[in-house]
Amino acid sequence: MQLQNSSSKPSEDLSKNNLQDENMIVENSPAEAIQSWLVTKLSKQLSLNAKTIDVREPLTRYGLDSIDAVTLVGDLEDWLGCELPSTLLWDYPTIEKSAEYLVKEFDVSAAVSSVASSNVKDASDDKTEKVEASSKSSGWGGLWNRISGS
Amino acid sequence: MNFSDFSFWWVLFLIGVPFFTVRYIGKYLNIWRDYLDSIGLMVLSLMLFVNASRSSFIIFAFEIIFNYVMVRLMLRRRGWESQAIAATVIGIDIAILAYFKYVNFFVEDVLGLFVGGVTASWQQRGGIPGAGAIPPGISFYTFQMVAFVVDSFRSKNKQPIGVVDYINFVSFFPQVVAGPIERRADLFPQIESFRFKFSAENFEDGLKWLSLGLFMKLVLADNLSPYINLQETGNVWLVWLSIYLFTLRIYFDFAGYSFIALGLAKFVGVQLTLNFIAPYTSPSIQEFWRRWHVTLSTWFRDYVFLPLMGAKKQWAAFYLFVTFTLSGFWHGAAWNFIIWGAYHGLLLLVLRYAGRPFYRFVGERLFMPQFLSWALTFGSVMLGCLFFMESDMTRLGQKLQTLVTPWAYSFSNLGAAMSSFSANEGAVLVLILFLTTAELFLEHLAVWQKRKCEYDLLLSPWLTRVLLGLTILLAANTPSKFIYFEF
Repeated sequence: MQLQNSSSKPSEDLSKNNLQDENMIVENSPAEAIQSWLVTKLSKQLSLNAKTIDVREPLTRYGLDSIDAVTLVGDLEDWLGCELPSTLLWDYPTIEKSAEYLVKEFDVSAAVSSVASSNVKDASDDKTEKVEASSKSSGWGGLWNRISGS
Repeated sequence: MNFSDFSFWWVLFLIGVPFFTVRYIGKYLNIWRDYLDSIGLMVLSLMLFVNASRSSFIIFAFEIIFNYVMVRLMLRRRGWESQAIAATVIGIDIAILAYFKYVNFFVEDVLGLFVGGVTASWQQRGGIPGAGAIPPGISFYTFQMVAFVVDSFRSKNKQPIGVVDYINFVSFFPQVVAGPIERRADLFPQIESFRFKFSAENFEDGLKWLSLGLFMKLVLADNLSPYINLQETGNVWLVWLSIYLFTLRIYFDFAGYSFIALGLAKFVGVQLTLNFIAPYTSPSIQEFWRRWHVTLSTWFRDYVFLPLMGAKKQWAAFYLFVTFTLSGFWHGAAWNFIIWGAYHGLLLLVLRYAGRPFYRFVGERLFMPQFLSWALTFGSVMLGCLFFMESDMTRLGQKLQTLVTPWAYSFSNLGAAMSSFSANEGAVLVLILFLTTAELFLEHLAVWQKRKCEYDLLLSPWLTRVLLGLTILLAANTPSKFIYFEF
């Protein structure tokens, strides 16, 4: 399953850059939120395009090695605020399986929802800034834009 | 157990038939108690071990008693006392392994480098009694015992363990000599509730794995073995051919063993861990190590790599290299195994720190199709196999020199290589290579089709019967020893 075909999308993309609809975050399940987080992290760590990451492919297919596996689990612990098994990404070698396991075995809903709500807030702030910016650009900014051709 | 030794099957038959006859009558008359199944399994396993090696059985029996008593004691204690017992047991287990496996190497190869004449006088004295002859299975059952101590120490369940259950856990006859190295959480619950389960489903499942394992070992590995020429150092084509054949052989030999063990265990209703998951389909060296000898890799990960590293994750690369080198050293007390381990550790690090930027630079998908990734991975594994198979360091150096000499790749050398086989030998080699390619292709196909198990196609009912038939027809006349028995 390619990520772009699934309902799960990188949370950071959702919150900051590509957010089309705030409700999408609220509707995301904890498993999808974790999947999104892992896709984003993995794409950054391995310099991959997030859209090409298939959550059902083994992580090693993207070049994930033992060093990535332990550091990624460390980051995941910081994000979710709970202690996770170091062998998580060996025992559950795909993003989908890891996310399912985490939702099943750990109370991640609080951490995920707090991140989601902060994302919503960020997105909302972002939207307000954009509205303000666009209202500015419709005044002097707009004139400047027309003059500068930007 | 040596599955290619006729006496293994003979003893299994001689003990099994009377035992199961008595069991059947006892069950029929309702006088057979369930725990007698565990005792029967224990007797069967121990008798098969005695048959495999009487002298080693004494060491094995001592280690079982010692470990059982100490683990029982450990489970009753708390805090530092429990920790001290665990450390002592692990220390003694490793010391016994080191005594048989590494003393000669340290004196002759390490100490001999610095102190002149040590090697000669040591060899004259005959070394330490018993050292040098590695008792069969000692590496595997030692690792399983060590893992059991650690897992029991970490376990929240501190209930005492039964002596028969412990003996069965360590000596379970399909896997005691060459793995898979089973963990407490996977095997012990099955052993605790052990009952012989001869269901049609277990029989069918067991037969499938047994057929695949026997085909891999007796047809593929054993028929490839005679073509591996360790002496050849001058003809580059023959050197490469031997490396290639050894790469295939070691997989079919050990995976074959593991699958026979898996099949035998299934017959009696026990599920063992899949020790090989089509490793030669890997498109990266990272993935290769998740598919090759899985239980050993996870053992080193859980009991060496992660504890060594601890919280120092910024040093992960260093500890990864150390772990791979140690894993090489475990395979054998010789420089070539240390080089092999270090080579794989280094390979992972080079790919990570140099390969990734390069991969990014050239464009990930455009220049690196999946096939090329696979070919590079397989090539790297093959080169590693040269270090694994060649224990003579002088010869290893000569072979490496030949491989990097451009003019060694001449047509005249190719002609000489081809004429080194008779027509019959060549025909047999081509046939066996055709079968190995077909086998590996079916593994690839299952991976591409994203099947649940990589051996799904090879385990299909009709193909299993074909493999069994081919084993009867094409099994090598002289089965070679299992490679992993030397470790």
